[in-house]
Amino acid sequence: MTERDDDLDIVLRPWMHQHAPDAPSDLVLRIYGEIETMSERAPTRSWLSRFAAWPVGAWAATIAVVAILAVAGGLFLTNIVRRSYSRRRRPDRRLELGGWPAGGQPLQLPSASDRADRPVLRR
Amino acid sequence: MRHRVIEEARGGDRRAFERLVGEVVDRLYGAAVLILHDRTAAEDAVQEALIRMWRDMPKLRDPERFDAWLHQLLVRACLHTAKRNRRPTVAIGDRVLTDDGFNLEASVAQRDAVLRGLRHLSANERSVLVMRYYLDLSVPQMADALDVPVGTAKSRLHHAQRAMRAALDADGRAIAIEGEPA
Repeated sequence: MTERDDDLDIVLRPWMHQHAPDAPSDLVLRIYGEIETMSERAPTRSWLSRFAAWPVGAWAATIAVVAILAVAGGLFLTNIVRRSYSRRRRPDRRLELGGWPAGGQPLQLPSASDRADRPVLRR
Repeated sequence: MRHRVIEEARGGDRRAFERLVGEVVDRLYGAAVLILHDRTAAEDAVQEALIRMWRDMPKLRDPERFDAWLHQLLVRACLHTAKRNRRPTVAIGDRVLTDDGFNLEASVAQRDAVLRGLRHLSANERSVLVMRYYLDLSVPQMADALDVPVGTAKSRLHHAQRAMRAALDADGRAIAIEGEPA
């Protein structure tokens, strides 16, 4: 500490110690109350209580998202069921035409006219 | 003994924590009033610092650093409160420092001069001076509390001292001029 620091030390140190007040008693009580609330909240934080502690906005947003997903999922499933049901009910036109056997499409060889129409590649 | 209390408070022991608070609260509040010049703001800052202390105490690895850590919490809370409030300290300084609870035996002239000098400083500069002259911290301890290198803490202290000295000198000159016969 320099000599110039000493003069400030002589003025400021006693001044600060004289003028600094003690804490009011209600401040300490308020702090303890706040900590009590925090401690009560902290150990019983199950996943359910965490959800319960959500703000209203978060709840509203979550409900909206879940509702949208539920409607979209419902529509998707309904569409699949409807399609498969209508396919089952619809008579198979391929069978009506007498074309395909149960195993799949019959092999159809190209006719002679088809082969004649095809261009011949020359080297 | 104190080390054991700190350890117990770190482990979540409420009684140990309350004992620590009882030890430090007056000192912290005094420092906060000197930094902020506002009792209500000082109460907010001390509350913020002590609640943070309770919450973050399990993270304090070295109990030897408890005081430096606590001073760091207080100074941060004070600067945060000062930034949030941004109220002029000139109007409230007189009220706060002449409230009951302050020693009015000190000479009025000296009290006013120091008060005016402190008013001219920023909350940052006042916090450095309070750490030095009220909390009696050394420069390395201040650096630890401010979480800055020792050189930076020394520089900040030097600037704050220079600003305070300039304010006191200016005040002294003004008083001398006022006292001169016309």
